[in-house]
Amino acid sequence: MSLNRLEQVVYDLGVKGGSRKQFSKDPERFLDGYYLDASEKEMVMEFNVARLIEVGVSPLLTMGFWVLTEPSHSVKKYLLKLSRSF
Amino acid sequence: MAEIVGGFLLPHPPMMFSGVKAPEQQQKNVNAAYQKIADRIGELEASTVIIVGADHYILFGPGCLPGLLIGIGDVDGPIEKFSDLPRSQHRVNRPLATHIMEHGRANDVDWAVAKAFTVDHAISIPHHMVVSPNEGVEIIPIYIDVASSPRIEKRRAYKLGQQISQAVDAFPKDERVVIVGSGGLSHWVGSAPMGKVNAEFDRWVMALIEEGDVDELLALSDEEILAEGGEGALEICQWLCAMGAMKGARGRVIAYEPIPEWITGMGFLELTFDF
Repeated sequence: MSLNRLEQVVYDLGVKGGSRKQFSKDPERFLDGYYLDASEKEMVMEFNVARLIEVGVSPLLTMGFWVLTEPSHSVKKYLLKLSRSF
Repeated sequence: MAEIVGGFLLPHPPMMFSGVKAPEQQQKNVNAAYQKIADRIGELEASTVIIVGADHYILFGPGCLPGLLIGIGDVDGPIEKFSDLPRSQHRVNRPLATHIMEHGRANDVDWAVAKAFTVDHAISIPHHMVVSPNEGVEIIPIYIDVASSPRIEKRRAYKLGQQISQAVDAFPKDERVVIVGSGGLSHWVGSAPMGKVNAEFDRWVMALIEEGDVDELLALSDEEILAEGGEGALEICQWLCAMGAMKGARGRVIAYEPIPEWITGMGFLELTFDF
């Protein structure tokens, strides 16, 4: 598990439009560039923000990641996802 | 000669400029508090406002996390796209900012430096609300890393304030400088309790500042702050920096409004030696 690389990819998807574009076109190929293991890739591709926070990713990053990258962009859905898990 | 003539502690909730309405009277009270601070900056005849903020994992990511950063050149902001706060240039007092940087580096402050910089709401909201209404007043933006681990310790932030004050005192030209601690109070950002405000904690913090009880604030652990005030309450660091720059000052509460709609307990204080 690489928390640093997880935070890096979540940060990039939260602030870089180019990263979001690549991710939406081919998420697997995009994530290959971050040396994540299978479970880490799954967390990101499934927008499993609760699990990301659980493993130590900053909530500042997970919220930005969700709001900018997750298809609904909904803060309400984000909080609902967290509340179901915590 | 330059001197620090005043200090203020204030919040910077981005939701104020995102089309989210707070209850009408609370919104009026908040606007009045910002206006009071803007007016006081005018009364103090400030030439420059040092705004001490913190990034929110927006400007800086895991690839580079500057602990202490000062903007000394071209600055604009906010980097975020707010419906009610367009991006604009923020005039910087470059000679004084450069002096603070150089004085710091000669005296064990390892400043990171930004020469061309788009700041986030931590700087742009205070700039808009309390600096812009005062024509000709310039800013100096400073960032302390309190949001991204490894964080700057509270004691370091307080000491930085003292070091900033020493640098200002050593500047050879006349400048009347105000320092603003931008952030806080209780708010949870991105975690499950987001939207919760802990007014009891916020009032306790403000009461300590009214007493000038820095030691009690410095004794708080990050775990305690996170539990009682959320990630956003770690921004007490910026307040401690401002208090360090005005060592011995006490706070005078201007206003406090707990606003869940803006996910923030909004505290406004003036730092004063007049007590």
